[in-house]
Amino acid sequence: MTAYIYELVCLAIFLYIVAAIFYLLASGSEFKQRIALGLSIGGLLANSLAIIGRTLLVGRLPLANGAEFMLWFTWFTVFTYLFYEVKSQNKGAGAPVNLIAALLLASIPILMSRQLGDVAPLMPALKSPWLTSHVLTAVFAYGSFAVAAGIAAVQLKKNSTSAELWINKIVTVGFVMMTLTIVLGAIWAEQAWGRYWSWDPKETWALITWIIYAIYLHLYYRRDWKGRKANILVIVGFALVLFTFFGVSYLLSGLHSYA
Amino acid sequence: MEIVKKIIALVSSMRAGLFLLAAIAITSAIGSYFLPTTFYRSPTFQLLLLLLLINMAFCTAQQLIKAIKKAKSNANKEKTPSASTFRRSGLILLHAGLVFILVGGTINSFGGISETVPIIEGEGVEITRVIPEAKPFTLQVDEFIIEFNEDASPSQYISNVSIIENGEVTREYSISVNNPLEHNNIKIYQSSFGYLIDAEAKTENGLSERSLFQEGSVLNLQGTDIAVMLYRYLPDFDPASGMQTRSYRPDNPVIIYSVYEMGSLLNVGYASFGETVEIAENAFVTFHGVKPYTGLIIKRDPGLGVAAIGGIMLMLGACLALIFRTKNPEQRD
Repeated sequence: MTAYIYELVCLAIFLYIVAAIFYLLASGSEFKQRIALGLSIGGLLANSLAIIGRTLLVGRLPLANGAEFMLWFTWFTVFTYLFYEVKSQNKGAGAPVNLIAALLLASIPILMSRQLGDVAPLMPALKSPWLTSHVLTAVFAYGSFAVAAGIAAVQLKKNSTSAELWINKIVTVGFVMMTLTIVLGAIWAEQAWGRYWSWDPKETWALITWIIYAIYLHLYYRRDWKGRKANILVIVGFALVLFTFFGVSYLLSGLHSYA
Repeated sequence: MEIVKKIIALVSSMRAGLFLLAAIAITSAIGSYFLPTTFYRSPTFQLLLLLLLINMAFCTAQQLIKAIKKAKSNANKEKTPSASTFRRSGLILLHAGLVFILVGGTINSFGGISETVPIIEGEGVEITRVIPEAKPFTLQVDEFIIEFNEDASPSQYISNVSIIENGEVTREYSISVNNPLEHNNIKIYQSSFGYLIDAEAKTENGLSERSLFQEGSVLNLQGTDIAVMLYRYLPDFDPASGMQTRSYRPDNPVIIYSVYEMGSLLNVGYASFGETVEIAENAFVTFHGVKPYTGLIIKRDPGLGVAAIGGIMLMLGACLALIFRTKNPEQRD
């Protein structure tokens, strides 16, 4: 399996894209919707096999470089989406979420192809038991935010109260996970770098993202902002997630540089 | 009294808090690009954080008082605490945790010290030189080691140190990345490393000078117009890759040097350890080796405990609020 990680990633991208297309065309057709769901599950399977392959290749949970992070990011995105679809019986967001997953995963062959086969041992700063919890909570948070943004994008066109509640539920999960990411990261940073908060670009942008979702949650519970405005805030939050991942890595250099 | 109440209401309002959060988000976004190192220490930004601390402290205190009152009035009616009680407690804990973190950070910004200190193998530093109010001890570096992976990339940086109190070694410790030493509330971290070059210059008239030099320093040969710049130490030199070391493992250690006469460059060369090179007529340089030094961060943060408690409260509170979240926000009281 270790020899086919790249192919598995390409297969997952392909399945996510086709799933997105089927979701888009399926409106009303139960049959097409089932195919779309199947394709999405297939994509998740290929995504899982890629993670397993990478685990076997490097002999540890692959949570260090950008490509490894991305494999988990899309896995949690699609997994959270499938959970949502099964639980809520809403299918409207299948197209945007699978498209987001496909595009995110496509960033591996486009920007980080070398990293999939990279077997270099961990650098000393990453050799810590905090790595696992810090990164796993981060990908869980990011995946939740991706799904929330996908549902919110659909909500901009046709509003449903049930979907609105689900957005809030998913953002809440993502927000709590991100809170854990930041605090666990701070505990680790205190051990590794001698400071729990350094205003490193990754930290700063993670905090900005966290603040946006905090504002969303407050406004939501105060019932000040609902519907369109709240949905836009959820989409802006996800744009910040993407900037924290890509923008900070490519535009602002700092302590979190693990290309 | 009315006006005091109004001020407190304004300062502790959620609206003011959200406004401050938004201001912090926007300014730190701009700061991260334009002034990545200085902005967060600027008075404007510190003031925003302080205002947020005041706002959240008031807001949280009010919520707490409300919750206690409610609990008292419900004490006779309900026996078991309901989900909404847990949820509310979680939210208060979460906000109080943030207040603690901000307080911890404020204490550190007034009373904390953090400094990177280079120490040569075999030498030590008096802790009071870095942190004047500390209980005195000497931090001595016995050995600095870089451990390597098979591919010659560094796997760990280790400083073996001794703590010397009243002339006696009271503690020995291996400081490595992710494994700091804590002694008398002072934490010491492995942060960086470097090398001093052990070089000797000789001229025809027998004048000789041997000393330890930092990379980039210039050695003037006495009685001549010749100067040598000890440009760099490369642990694993490969002529094909030029001035870049292949790794930090000393597989082929050389010193890169450049020779100047009256300030103008004569040539650039490299020499291995022990080799005597004639850099100009009757001018010789020998590089005897390098002496590593370790860069240790010596830190005292009197606010760390408060911030740590805050961090734990924040995590616990967030988890409680999530587990006992209301099924439908419309139903919340």
